[in-house]
Amino acid sequence: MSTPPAVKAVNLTKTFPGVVALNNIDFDVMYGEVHAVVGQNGAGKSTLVKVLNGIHPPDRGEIYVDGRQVRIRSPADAKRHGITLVHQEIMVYPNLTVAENIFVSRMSRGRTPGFVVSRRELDDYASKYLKMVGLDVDPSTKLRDLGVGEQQLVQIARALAEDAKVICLDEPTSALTPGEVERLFSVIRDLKSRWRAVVYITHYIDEVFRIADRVTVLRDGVKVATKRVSETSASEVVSLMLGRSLSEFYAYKPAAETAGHPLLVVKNLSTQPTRPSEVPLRNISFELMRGEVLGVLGLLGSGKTELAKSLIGMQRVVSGEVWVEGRRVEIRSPLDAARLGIFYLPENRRLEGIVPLMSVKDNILLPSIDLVARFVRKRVLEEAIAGDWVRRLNIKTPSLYTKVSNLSGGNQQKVVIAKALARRSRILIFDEPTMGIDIGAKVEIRRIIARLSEEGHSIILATSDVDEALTLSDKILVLYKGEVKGYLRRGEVSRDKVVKLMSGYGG
Amino acid sequence: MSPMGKALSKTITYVIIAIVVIAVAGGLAYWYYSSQRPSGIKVGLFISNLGNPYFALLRDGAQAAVTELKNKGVNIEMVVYDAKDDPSLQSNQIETAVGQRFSALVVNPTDIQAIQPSLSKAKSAGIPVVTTDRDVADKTLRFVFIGTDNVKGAEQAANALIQALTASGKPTPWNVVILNGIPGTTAAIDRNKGFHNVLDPLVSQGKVVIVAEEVANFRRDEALSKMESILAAKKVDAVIAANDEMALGAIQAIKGAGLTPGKDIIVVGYDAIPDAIAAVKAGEMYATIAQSPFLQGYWGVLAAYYRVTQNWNPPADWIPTPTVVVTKTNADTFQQEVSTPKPLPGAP
Amino acid sequence: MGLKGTSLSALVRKFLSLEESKPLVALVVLYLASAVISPYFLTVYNQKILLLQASPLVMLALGESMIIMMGSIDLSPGSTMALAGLIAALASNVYGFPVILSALIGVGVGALIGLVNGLAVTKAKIPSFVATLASMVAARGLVLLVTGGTSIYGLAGYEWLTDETAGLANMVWLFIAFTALTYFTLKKTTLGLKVYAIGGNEEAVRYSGLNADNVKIAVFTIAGSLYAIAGLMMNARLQAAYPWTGYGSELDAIAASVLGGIQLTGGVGSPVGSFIGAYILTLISNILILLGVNPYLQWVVKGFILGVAALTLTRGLRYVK
Repeated sequence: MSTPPAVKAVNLTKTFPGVVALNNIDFDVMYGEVHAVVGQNGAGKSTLVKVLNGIHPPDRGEIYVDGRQVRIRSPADAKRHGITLVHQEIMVYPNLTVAENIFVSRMSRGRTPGFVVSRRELDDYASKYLKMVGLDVDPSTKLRDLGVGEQQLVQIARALAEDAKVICLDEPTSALTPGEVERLFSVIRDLKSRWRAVVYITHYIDEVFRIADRVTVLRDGVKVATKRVSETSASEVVSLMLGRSLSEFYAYKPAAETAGHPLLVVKNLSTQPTRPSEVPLRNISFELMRGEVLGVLGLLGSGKTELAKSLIGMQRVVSGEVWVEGRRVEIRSPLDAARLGIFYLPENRRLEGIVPLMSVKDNILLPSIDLVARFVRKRVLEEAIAGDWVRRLNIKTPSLYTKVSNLSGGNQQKVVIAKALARRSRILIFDEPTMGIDIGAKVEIRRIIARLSEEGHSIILATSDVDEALTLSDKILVLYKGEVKGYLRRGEVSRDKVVKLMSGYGG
Repeated sequence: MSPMGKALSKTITYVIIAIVVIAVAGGLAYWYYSSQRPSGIKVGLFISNLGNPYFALLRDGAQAAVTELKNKGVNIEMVVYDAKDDPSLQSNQIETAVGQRFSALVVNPTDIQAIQPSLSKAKSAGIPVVTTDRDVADKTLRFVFIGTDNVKGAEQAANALIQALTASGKPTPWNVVILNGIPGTTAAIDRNKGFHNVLDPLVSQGKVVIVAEEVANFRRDEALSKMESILAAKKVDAVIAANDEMALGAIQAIKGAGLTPGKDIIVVGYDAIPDAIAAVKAGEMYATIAQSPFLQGYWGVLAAYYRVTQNWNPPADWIPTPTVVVTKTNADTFQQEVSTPKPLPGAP
Repeated sequence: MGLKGTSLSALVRKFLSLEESKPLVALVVLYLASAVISPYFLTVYNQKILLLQASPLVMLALGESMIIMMGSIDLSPGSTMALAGLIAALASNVYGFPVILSALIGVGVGALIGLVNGLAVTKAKIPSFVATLASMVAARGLVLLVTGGTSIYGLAGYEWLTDETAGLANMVWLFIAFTALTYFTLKKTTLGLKVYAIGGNEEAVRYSGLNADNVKIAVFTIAGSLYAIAGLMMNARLQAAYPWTGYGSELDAIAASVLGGIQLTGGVGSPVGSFIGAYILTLISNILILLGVNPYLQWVVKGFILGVAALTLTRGLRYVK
């Protein structure tokens, strides 16, 4: 290899408060190459491209373009060095026309000849680049009138118009139809032949093998491996991605009570999405015994969060039945769920779990406040209850009156668990309980989950972490695109089988 | 769907059909009626806000003129429009009337600028326009303005104040407070000018000291707070306010300070609203200024009539309507005084 | 000696950690400055009128601050106080109901407007800014429709509010009581916890199995009642139901809340702060008149002081939900 890589990063490190998002990453991409980056949610894939594009300046590390070291502190810097990011949400102007979107950054820099640009001229110019990405639309169409896939192609056209040498695509297929995916792939192949370097981020393993030349696997902000695609296999990539650690930290104990009547029965549950990003569930059935842990395993877009939310009335259920303790129930709101002893511990703590500016005590007591006091609050009783949970869950906080926003991610998660327990909930639904917290806290949260089940709580553990599900669960429900791919007892299944089911193979 | 629900939805359907039919029929009838060309003289009266009793009097005056003309055998009719203080609504009303070929428009503008485009339409359609109470900025859009001379009225108010101060035997210099209206409005500017025309010479003679001059935006509650604060710092002998609401707010503040309005502090207002007349009768307010909205309406219709029938030219492009100082002596009678038809100056 | 010093500095630190400390310091500074520059400022009469002038605004600010703490905004206080005051005046002076009953009817009208606001925000899911803008316009329209733009004069029976007990007007005691009551409700009751939680993170409240909608409806209704009491106070002060009462006061109520250290993002603040904020606003108007500052310049000075105060007291002006 005589030519230097188009972009090369050495020892890239980026930390966010409480999380090391990128830990000493080395990465490079050559001209005429598609380099895929894979990893689970929170592995650091998006952070990597955002650092390369100047959206998040790195804490440490060097970036080289064409063999020369450069400083990239802003998207404008990145653009100057020919690096551009195609992302669904970034830098799109839905109310401008396709042509204006393609040239907006150039127009603002006044590089097109003359101040005033005629619309005709602009459209002619734009259609040249639209042709390159095989998009046959009128350049004067408003961008918002195009489909998601077409919008993405417009962004790629813009990258070409800006003469970008390195094009980063962040999860480009997550909202595309199969036809649109095919079209995108042929455009990417065309980019290769035009000698562009492509960084391709995805969590779909099959795409790696269809389009990429090399693949880099990230896990928890660390680079696990970079492999030539021709020299590896899907199952190797998946198992690198999911890792194989932590299982030794806690011992599995079977559920105390697996006989008798189930506490929760779900029969043929189907839902309709309420937001475009959600997945419809189809015919989900399972049973949950007292003291049992049911792992709901799936990748992003598998429907595990939707299943969790459907049990607290936050999804539109179109058919199916839910039974609690032998009685058929209708759950229309989190309040209905709470009355039945069902509590959801959300994936996104900051958005749905905690009130950051409120104290630890008030956060813990929020769901149960109407049980503790009728109208006038009882300070002594509240302190006793909250203090009790802080001790039992080992929440590290200077005082009960500390704001939750001042706690670490792991301790915030424990506050959310305390909320559920103080409400005397019997069925706890955890959604990705250990995502985005450091390893020590992960272990501790998992121990708490194991202990809660020993104490007789029933737990639904929605996760994309195979080891978390395998070590903690009595039963595992594997979801893929809203459907059950497997409903397995512990010990009935190998790790490899589960991984395959999760990626949509077999079942 | 349950039978009950079916019956209900059926009923709703019928109701909707009925509403649509009535609306269409009504619309057609209105269109037919309004497209009929007037056989006689058709005058449009456009009032800024009929909810205000002051403008209701203007309407009454216009009505009196129409009745009088009808009794003389003139084929005249009048349509009254209420703009509810909304210039865009008034513009629409005027434009519609122009389309209906009214003979003349008597307009009490909501705004001196905003309705001018609609008046230009009247002008190009050859429809004569009289403005009343408030004029428009472009004076070529109307052939005459009939309204109060606020400067003169304010001078009368200030003279009444001085008269009362002299009669009270208070030692000079007299400490006077002026409360002004919403800055920029013609009424506020003219009245302020009238006050100063009378008071300023006395200030230079050392007989009057203006201890405070505040803006209370024609509002009673603002005048109350401002006057309270003024009384905390100054000794005050008299208050002159650009409208009665502010004068009444000042009276409230004077009472709150433990003083007697009318005795310790003399208050003069402007507009002669009913509350103020009550205060004048109670001796709390010395005087207020009555305008003649009745005459404005009355003269407005007459002027329009003469213009349409005889191409009348007014003696001046502004015919001022009289203002009357209302004190205890004429508090019961002034209303008749200003609501009696008087001959239009310069009438043929 | 050293011990005494540390306990004093601990006390100061404790004071500064209070939510209300910054507005309170601002108020004290303004008080001292005013006393120095105007000999009339500290007179008993002037202090009494300050309290009287602040009374209605404090009631508005208390209601407004509760709503801002929930992360919403209310534009209806000024119109609500006018309509409630008018209906009470009509009931007592035109229809001859006893004054107590009329006052209750007035408060009921305020509560009703609040209830409508609350239902619009929760059930119809209209943003609070728009929903309360609509009721602000509609309520003022009703007032003008009923009165035709003129006051109901010679209002009798509301003097109890301006009568004095122990040297202060009863309406002053009333607003002090309501400030305490609002403080108690927000800080010491379950409703208060929910208000702060909704302002801090409404989604978390829903996922906690609480009915956030009911809380919002309740708070809008309570706020409406507080505005109505302000309307009764204005009835007493003017001895008239004046149709333009409270026109533009919603902005004063919001400004008072901001000056009181309440963040417009919600979830943070104290009603005592909004009380202080209302007092600061009243004080500024008062001192400018005492000094005889040119009326046009008064607006400039007021705007300047507001800007500086908002800058130093709160960072909350940046977002409105």
